[in-house]
Amino acid sequence: MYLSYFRKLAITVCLPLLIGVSACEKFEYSPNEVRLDESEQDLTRKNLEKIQALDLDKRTTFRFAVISDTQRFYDELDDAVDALNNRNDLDFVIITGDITDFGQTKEYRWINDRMQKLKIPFLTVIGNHDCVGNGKKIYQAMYGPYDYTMNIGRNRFVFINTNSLEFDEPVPDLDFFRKALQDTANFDQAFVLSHIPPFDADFDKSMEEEFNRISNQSKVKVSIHGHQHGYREPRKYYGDAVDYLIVGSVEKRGYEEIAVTGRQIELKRILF
Amino acid sequence: MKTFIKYCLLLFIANASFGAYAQDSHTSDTDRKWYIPDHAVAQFAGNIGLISAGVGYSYLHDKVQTDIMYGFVPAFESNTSIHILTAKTAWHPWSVDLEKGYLLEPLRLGTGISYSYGPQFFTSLPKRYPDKYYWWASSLRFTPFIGTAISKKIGRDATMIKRVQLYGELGTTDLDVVSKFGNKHLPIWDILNLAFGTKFIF
Repeated sequence: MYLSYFRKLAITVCLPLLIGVSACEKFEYSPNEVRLDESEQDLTRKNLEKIQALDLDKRTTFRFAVISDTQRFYDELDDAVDALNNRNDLDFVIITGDITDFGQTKEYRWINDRMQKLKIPFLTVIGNHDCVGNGKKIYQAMYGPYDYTMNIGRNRFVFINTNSLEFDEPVPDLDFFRKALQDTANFDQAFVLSHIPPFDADFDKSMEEEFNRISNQSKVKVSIHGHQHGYREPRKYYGDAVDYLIVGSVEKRGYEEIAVTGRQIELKRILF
Repeated sequence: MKTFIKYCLLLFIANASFGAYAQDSHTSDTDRKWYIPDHAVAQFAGNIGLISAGVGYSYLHDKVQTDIMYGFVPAFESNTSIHILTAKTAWHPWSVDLEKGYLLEPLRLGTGISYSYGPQFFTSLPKRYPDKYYWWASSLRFTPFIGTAISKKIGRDATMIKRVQLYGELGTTDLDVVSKFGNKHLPIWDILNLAFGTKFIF
């Protein structure tokens, strides 16, 4: 008698409640909704803090990996995360844009859920596909500003939006770029990370020369990009001091490993 | 299992040839003017708004309904809300007359075509892009679904609302389906979403 009563209670009250709660995220209002959990917001700031907490400047060598164009390559990204986790000697990971294919919330979430399985922090720059629809707003809510910098000891990292076609205002923001690299007394070498490389047709041609001039005159050693899905090894594309590297899509099952020991930079393509 | 399929098939054929047998329940055979809606509808979720509402028509012996709905999505973690216009058509092969005025539509199949309004969405590719730069229209989404519905006769025949229906849907979107292709690690459950709604049938 009692048993059947409790069973009834369980079925009529607890079960629907359980299904309701677990199914909450199954109620989608729009593919373009900017509705994120607190843990899915402000990730760039959170990860920069995590990287600072590693005290990498006190190490003789620090190592990071760069992957790119994760858009719709979930199987490959899962394998990349496994490969990166198996290393145990990497300090952080960077995605150089086209995180998503359609700039939709769920894609941002699918990629982030996978990246959260990394044991180390990760940073991003926005790609052109990430801008489609409400993608810019989702990127800003999930990661943060498009343009930002990071210091590790005497190394300057500049993350910059170079998706010229996706914005009404001039992109890349050369004022930001100049300011990010003008205090050359404070760093020995710099890395630039952006989605579209300056020599690509989708980069605003009127800004190419100035962008490269700033890089060349501000101790930029490696300019790292995505967009073009094939890997292109580091090359002094403009014959100046800057090496340009196209990481290639995660679809090609490769990542770039970059080891920094003082002023020595070692670049290596690793396949997984 | 085989007998079940046979039974379903028989039921389907019988339905198709005799037309709707629950004539009291639905509305395509009334003598009201064609442009007067046959029902009003409100829905929660389903990628056509947090809440969407509209009116609809019933036709083909009350086997098919088309709803025109406006949906609203709050801004949440951004500064702009989304406004969505949706045309949604569903077909149900069978209706089961239950006792006490209840009518069950065990299976509903359909799709919505939704249009999201705003300068951030494009329907045809803006001129600044090279040809075929993006192959999809970010303003338009197909939202196919499978669902079920139950309705109850209320009031007398003279009242305006003659039936109230509750429905539930399991849906996806065209781009979610595209995302699933080639990705074994993306569970089917990830590309599915739930929605429910109610219809007031005139």
